[in-house]
Amino acid sequence: MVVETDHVGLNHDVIQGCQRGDQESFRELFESHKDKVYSIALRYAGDRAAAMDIAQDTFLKLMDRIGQFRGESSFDSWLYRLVVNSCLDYRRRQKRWMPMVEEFFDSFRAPQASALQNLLGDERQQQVQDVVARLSPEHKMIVVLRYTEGLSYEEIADVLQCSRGTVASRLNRAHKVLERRLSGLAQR
Amino acid sequence: MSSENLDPVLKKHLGRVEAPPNLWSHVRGPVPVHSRGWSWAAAAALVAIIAGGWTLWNEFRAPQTVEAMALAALDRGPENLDLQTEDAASVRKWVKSNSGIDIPLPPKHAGVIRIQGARVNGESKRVAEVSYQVGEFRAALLVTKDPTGTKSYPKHDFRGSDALETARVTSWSMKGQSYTLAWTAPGEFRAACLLCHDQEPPVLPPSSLVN
Repeated sequence: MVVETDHVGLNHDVIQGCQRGDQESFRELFESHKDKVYSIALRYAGDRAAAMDIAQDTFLKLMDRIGQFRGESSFDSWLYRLVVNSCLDYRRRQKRWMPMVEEFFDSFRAPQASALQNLLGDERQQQVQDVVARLSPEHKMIVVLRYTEGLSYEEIADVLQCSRGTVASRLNRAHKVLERRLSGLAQR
Repeated sequence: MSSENLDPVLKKHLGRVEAPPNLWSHVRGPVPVHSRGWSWAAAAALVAIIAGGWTLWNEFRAPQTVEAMALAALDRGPENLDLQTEDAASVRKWVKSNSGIDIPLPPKHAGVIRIQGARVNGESKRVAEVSYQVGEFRAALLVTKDPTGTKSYPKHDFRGSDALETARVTSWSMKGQSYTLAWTAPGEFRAACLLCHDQEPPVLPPSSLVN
């Protein structure tokens, strides 16, 4: 399985330069991937300071492990896995029970289409992001990869190393939770 | 309602953002140390709670009667004895040094008595237990200090007996100690007295007989 391969100027020489420990190559690789890494971290953590730490952790892992990259999968796919691991490490440090509790109570609420559609015209970005941030870690990561990075089910399955069916069912579950929460948000 | 309504909302609000300009300096800067202090504190608190609960449980649980302990000794068998020996002198010495209780065991036993060993029970109340076989039957003698007993009273002051489904128990006081004898044989079982006596008593007092 090959994930997105447009490396925005990244070529094989840059990766090889990083593997040799060349700082200029690493800076070039950082510049071409920083938005992607930071965006995933921010959408996952819902907090700029945490996103900075996750991005830092990801690039440190990248420097540490770039020698292990053999090109068997695309570089993007390999990088996504590093980001996901850093997000999960962050989550382990910030473990919260609230997402599960909230999902339980949300299951009693009924979603309303019109209320949800109102959100499209609202500038309530932070509120939507907060709702996403309260998803369980498994659901949240799939939502982030899907909507922040626009990955397909197959690509998400490749990054998370699970089946396409697992991705589909988790995304479906996440949609239901989000529909309920966003409906409640729009009604306020 | 389907995900078609949700997709535009999520695409609109969850799109990519630009990394802040200081991300590079953050990446090259010091790595934050993630303290595990809270985890250790939680673990320590959990251990303290468990230890406290265990202490309270031992403090307030219903005290086990010596009769119940005697029956438990019969059930338990010789495997869990603190001292496993057939030598009566060793048992007497060990019990004395571990509980302060002196059980008047003769140095030698003839015939049907075969000592299996001893243990000391109880938390604050020290209970000395001697387990033994009388022929094919099991028996256990449990002895405690009896502060209310008359130290000078040399004879068995029987307090009563009980017949249970699988065992019988009788108790008495003598010389400031309380004795409880349990055995698995049916009916009156004077042979069990040979643990301390060189011959069977002619007859047990009426209150000690099991009917």
